[in-house]
Amino acid sequence: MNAEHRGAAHNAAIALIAVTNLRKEFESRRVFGKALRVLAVDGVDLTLHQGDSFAVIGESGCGKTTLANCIADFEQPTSGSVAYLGREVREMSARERKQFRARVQIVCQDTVSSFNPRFTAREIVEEPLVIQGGTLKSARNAIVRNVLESVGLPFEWAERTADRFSGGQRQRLAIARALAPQPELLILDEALSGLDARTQSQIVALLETLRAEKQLSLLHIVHDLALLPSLAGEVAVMRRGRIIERGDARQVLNAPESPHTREMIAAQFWLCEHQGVA
Amino acid sequence: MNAKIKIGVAIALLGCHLFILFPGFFAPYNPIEQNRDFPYRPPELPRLRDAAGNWHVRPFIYAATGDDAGTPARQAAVPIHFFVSGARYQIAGSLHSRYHLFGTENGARVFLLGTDELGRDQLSRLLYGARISLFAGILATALSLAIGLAVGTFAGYYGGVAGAAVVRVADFFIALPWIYLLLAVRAFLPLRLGAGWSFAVIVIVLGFIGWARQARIVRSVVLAARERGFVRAARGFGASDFYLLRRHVVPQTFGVLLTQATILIPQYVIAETTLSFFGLGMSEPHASIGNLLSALQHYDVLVSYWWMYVPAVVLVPLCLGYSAVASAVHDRFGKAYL
Amino acid sequence: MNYLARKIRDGVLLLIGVSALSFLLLEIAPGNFLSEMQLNPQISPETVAALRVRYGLDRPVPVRYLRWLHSTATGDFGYSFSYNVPVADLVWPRAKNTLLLTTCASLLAWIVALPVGIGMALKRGSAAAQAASGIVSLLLAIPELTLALGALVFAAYTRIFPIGGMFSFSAENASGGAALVDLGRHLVLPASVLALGVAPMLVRHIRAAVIEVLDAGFVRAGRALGIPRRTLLFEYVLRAAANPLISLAGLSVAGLLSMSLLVEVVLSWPGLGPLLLEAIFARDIFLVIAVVMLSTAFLVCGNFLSDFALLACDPRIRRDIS
Repeated sequence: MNAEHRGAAHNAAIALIAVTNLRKEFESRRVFGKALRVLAVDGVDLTLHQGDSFAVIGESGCGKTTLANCIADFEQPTSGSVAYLGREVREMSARERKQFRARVQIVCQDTVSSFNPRFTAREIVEEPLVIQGGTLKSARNAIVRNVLESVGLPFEWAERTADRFSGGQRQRLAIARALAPQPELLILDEALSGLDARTQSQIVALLETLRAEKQLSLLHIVHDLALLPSLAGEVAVMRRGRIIERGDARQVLNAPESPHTREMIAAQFWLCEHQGVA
Repeated sequence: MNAKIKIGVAIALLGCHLFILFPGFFAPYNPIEQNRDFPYRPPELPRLRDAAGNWHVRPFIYAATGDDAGTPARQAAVPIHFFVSGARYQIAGSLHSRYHLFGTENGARVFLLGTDELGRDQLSRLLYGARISLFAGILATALSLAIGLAVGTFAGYYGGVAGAAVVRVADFFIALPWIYLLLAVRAFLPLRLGAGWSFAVIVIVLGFIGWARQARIVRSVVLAARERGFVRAARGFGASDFYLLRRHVVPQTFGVLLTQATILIPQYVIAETTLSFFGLGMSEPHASIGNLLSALQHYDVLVSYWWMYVPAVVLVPLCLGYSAVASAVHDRFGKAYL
Repeated sequence: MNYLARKIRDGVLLLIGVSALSFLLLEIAPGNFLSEMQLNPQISPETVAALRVRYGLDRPVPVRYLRWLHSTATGDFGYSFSYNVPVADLVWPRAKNTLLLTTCASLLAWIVALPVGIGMALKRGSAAAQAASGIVSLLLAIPELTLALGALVFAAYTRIFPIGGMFSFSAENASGGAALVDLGRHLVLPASVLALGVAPMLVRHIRAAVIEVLDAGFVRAGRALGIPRRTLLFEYVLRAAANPLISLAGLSVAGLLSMSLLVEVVLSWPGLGPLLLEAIFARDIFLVIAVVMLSTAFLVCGNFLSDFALLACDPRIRRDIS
């Protein structure tokens, strides 16, 4: 099925992921009998083709993580649609949805709770494969070795439990786990922010290789503008649930159109300069 | 208490369980064998020094042998031997053996803890009775934990109206005074039962009244676990509820359940003792700790035969041991992994 | 909803729940008083059938439950099969005795536990406090049955205190003062056993509550400001610790009632406990239900009293209401 779909995507250039007019509303706890409603995502359109790299930037609370969760089917949109290769996610059968979940992987910023502390690195990385089923143990072993080494973790550490990994190592482990089922789209929700610059560049290079060789699509969710130039491709700036500006990464950085984006960039550079002084 | 003492206590407690779970070897006699000639024999400790003031290497007792029981005037010194062959008993329900830890070789009786009104050896009855009480406690604990795990997992994982209802019902069970609840439930079941059934009734009633607290505890652990990152992640990989419960959620509750088990077992042993003491548990001739104690309800036994109180004292080290182990287990596994 | 109204509603719900559960159990239970009677060859089947109709046992459970509710509302609590009188006549005198015993015992327990617990918290880490905490652990590990039977053996051997009952035969015709002294002498043993059973748990909680307040910022600040120790203890620490302790008093009622049943049975105190056992052995179901209900009512009242005290003591709860 996947091969067929991929073929179709190439031929007709059907978008890998097409988000149309997505809205997500949260009902927070009741205060004095009245429910407080928060509109996290307010009418977002977004299209991703195979091999694309796309970055969503915005300050915390702008709705970018909710957008990512909606695309990965972690949360149900209030209205609007997410389509995978032209197929509406919410209309998928349980079987299709399960396959879809292997094709789209998300890596979260929070690595403290994202691994079961009783699991070894091997169990963590092969978990998506085990859940999806259909992979032999020997094949899984090869995949585990492959992805661990590709994110720069030695294969000898495969039997260590998760709590023995440091913060940066856990982040790499999370990326390794996301790569294990060979996804078509990888969503990195602030996944690189916690890492040191060297590791960041290593992983960015790895992802770019995968993008070039295997047509892996990348959706970066970032608040840190400093990373932006190294992430090639398109950028969308989000504010209060809406996309206020989009365009090529360098272009947005060098000549921002909206005043909000300008402010963000100015603040970032002010910070950089003053850090340099201190 | 420091960790080393706790480990020592835990090992001692395990040792006690060996005593209690394999009573046949440690008990010198069959617990229901009557010796009508020796009613209410006081406990007799082995001696090393005889009436004439001579020391002996082998411990001995002054005992009436079976034949001259009627003539209490002169009693012979009977040496105590170890690993003697005596009454047949079963190990774990299938193996037969005749070997006992100690006894005499000429048929004279050693009553280390005295005898009851029918001349039954109190030590043997205590060991066999403690086995019944302990088994009842362990099985009832397992039952309680199983019900609590099932109900609590359901309430915590699926939540909703049913989950809220479960919490309400559990609170109701927790609020009631436990002996009243126990007796009220027991009151509706038949009074006179055979040995097997009365044991089953004890286990079921105890297990049934104790599920509520476990269910609440399990529910709170499951509620926390359900929203943990790795559960969300696994759900994101397309995992089924069954997979999530089996691999991620339920294992989180094991530490708490283990702590609860060490707290519940002694409580249930006491509850069994209480029921049998009231005459609502194990029935004669089978021994249980409560059964043995019910003899004290007769005033003449109370004032004249103090050794009938010994089974009550035995409960104290058992409870102390379990509370030490509970605190050790709590330190190690009590909090679910964060 | 009003704080107290909510508490009352919870209590009433608990009582209704207990009675409904009892009737449910009654329905699924095999055998009852009359089926025991049927086994007796001296009673004709016609008599049993007539009794069935008279007691309404031929009706479906909901009808019987409503009838029983009606009977309870009029103060009868149903009819006792074995004693042939309304259950209330049997239950009330016994309930008074249980109330007397549990009240005296819990007063005694608190009088002992408060100074000990506070002392252990203040002298935390000292040899005396550690010894006391060892004794508390030991007492906690002694089952109530062992304790009560131990008291019985003790009383039987020393003969200092009378065993069993509330009054001596000799004191039957005694004047008011002498009868009271006699009652007191009978009360000493069961009340102290019960208090001994409850106190260790209280001591632990009191110690923990006081320690928590002692470690709180405002107490350390008070100490730094030079507020005298005594003032600090009584005006600051104990007032702040009062809150959890009042809740504790409410929560300990259930345990107190359970323990009281055991003590009553072992030491033959004519309270609800022995009556419940008699009722169980006589299969006198309404009597069982009434005793269980009454103990639940005690529980509800105890909890309500502690909630009320909490309301009186804690300005935060008062403010939440208004």
